[in-house]
Amino acid sequence: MTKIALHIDHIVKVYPHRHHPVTALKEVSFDIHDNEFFTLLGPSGCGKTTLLRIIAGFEEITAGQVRLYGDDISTLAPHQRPVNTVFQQYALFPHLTVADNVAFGLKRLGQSADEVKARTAAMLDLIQMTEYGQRKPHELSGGQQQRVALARALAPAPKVLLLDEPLSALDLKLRQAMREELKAIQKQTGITFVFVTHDQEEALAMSDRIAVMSNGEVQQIGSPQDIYNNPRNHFVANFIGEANILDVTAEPMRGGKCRVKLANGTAIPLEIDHAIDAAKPLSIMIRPEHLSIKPVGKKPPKSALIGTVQDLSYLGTDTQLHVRVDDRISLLARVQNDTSVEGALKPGQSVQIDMNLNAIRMLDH
Amino acid sequence: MPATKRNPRHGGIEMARATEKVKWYPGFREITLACFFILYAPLIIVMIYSFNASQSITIWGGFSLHWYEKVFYGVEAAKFKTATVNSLIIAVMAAIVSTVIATAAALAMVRGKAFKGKSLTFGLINLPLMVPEIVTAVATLIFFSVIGFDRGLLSILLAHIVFCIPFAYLPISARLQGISSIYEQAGRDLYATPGQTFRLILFPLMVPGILSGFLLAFIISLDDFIITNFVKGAGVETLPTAIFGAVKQGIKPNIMAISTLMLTVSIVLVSISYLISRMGRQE
Ligand SMILES: Nc1ncnc2c1ncn2[C@@H]1O[C@H](COP(=O)(O)OP(=O)(O)OP(=O)(O)O)[C@@H](O)[C@H]1O
Ligand SMILES: [Mg+2]
Repeated sequence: MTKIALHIDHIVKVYPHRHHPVTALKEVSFDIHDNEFFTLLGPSGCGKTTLLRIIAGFEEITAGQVRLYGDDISTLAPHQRPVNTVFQQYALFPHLTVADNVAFGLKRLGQSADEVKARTAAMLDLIQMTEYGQRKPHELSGGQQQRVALARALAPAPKVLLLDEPLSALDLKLRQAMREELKAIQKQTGITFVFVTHDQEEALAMSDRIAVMSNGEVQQIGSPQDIYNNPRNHFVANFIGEANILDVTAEPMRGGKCRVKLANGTAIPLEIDHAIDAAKPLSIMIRPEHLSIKPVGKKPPKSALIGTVQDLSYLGTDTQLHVRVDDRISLLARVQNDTSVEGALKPGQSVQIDMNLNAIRMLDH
Repeated sequence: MPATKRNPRHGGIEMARATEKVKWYPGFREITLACFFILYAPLIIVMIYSFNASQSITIWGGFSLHWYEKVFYGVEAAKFKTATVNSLIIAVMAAIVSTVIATAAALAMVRGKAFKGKSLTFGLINLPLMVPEIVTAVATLIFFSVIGFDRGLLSILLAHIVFCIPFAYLPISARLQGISSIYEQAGRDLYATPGQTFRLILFPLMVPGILSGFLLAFIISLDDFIITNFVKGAGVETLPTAIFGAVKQGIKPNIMAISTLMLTVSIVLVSISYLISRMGRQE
């Protein structure tokens, strides 16, 4: 059994406001495992920071409970919780040197001068900034400040480390380098990370598991592969990567299979294990890379989906194209640029679209 | 500091354009020069004539430190010395006490939770800046008489503490407003109790504002005449009231020397205050 580091139990958060209180979290519940790189992913305003601040103790809970390795910490003050935060704005103490910043938490925990010194040196070594110990924060670059903030929060060896969009102030190159460094440091220290981001690429690249949030609710929790390949609903499918979502009608067939029909009548044989309520509106999702596109041959099969290339955009390794089938169906496809097909495609051309049936997913709603 | 994206070059260009435009408004340069002239010409004349060798306050008789010698060793030297010591004692104590009170007030107003009557309190703290000083002076005098408080150094000190508070409050609360509460949160997050967070983080960050507030209160107290003149007892003098007393018997160049000395002290203190607040901002 994996140990549970944090148990988020039916948490509700309402920001009181005289005229219109804001409900930032609506009964959120999930577990974060020990030694896990866990990411809260969602669009702006979905409640990620609120949840993180509740875990850190900066925000009171309206209802629910936070358990840290089994103990209810909901009523503890921030300085009583063995949890540290890397703030989005870093929040390094401007009047203290880098070394004193890193040592701050250690001293408050009452460690001896020797212990503090050794641990501070070890942390500066971890972030490869040993020579910078005597500098003030304003004498560092953004990336360096970021690393010091990380070292400062890691130094007291918290049970859980909270990171609120720590990479968002960095430029692209540095952000990508820091992704790998963060991930490596997490593995090396074995500390549970709770990472907040609205960047799905960042979430997919770094996380062991992701909780996708929207509107104060968790939409889906799973591994990056799971979330990308098997999105549960429209929101997740659209938010993570790109998706073609098509309305369909279903008709059951023998042997647990069912056939779905696109709006233009094209039938797609799908293997679906759960019973389908054909009366409900249904939709299917397919990723752009799971469509294969080729110029229409001499005799296209009757069941084939035929469309017109609207536009092409060159993306380096891939070419992305919009293909219009009819008024109701328009598809986004992606073709690898090492195939012979890509050179032959032009706007206005008629193409045949084949779907990889294994990659089609039914969406809940 | 948080890594806010700054673009000094852009800001610089905008600023340059704005100044250029102002320069083109007809008459602006002339009005500015006239203002500066009216403000500073008398001061400069006082400074120059304090070094005058002649008795006259209008005719230049050559350079001399004669009047400065008079200030320290002349017939009135003892009177001015007592007055200066009184002024310094009162200014230091009034500045210390009003700075402590202003710091507490700023913490409650800026960091404290919203409370009923918060804007009223803000108004009350700053009201003395708006009330004509003569009104405060008369009111304070009446107050002291009614409660039967002996007039002397202590009554001057109490009055000074009160009117120095808003002057100390302004730079302190401005500084405090500029300190993001994220630092205190980071402190709490790193196991500092609320007391430690104040002592180790918020207070050190506030120091430039507190020093500015202290210096401003000090100068305001050192320089006050109207209220002091009302609440001082007979025979008790501060430097401004002593100078006023001397001037009533005719302006002598030694007054110019004293004024020049006071001006120098003020300029030095204001410069220090400015440097401190700039240092604070750079951090
Ligand atoms: N102190 C507050 N008072 C009132 N409402 C608040 C407060 N803080 C946040 N909210 C509201 O709660 C909701 C969630 O905010 P939160 O900061 O948690 O979002 P977020 O997911 O972190 O967004 P972002 O990606 O923009 O940082 C928003 O609607 C926000 O307006
Ligand atoms: Mg946020």
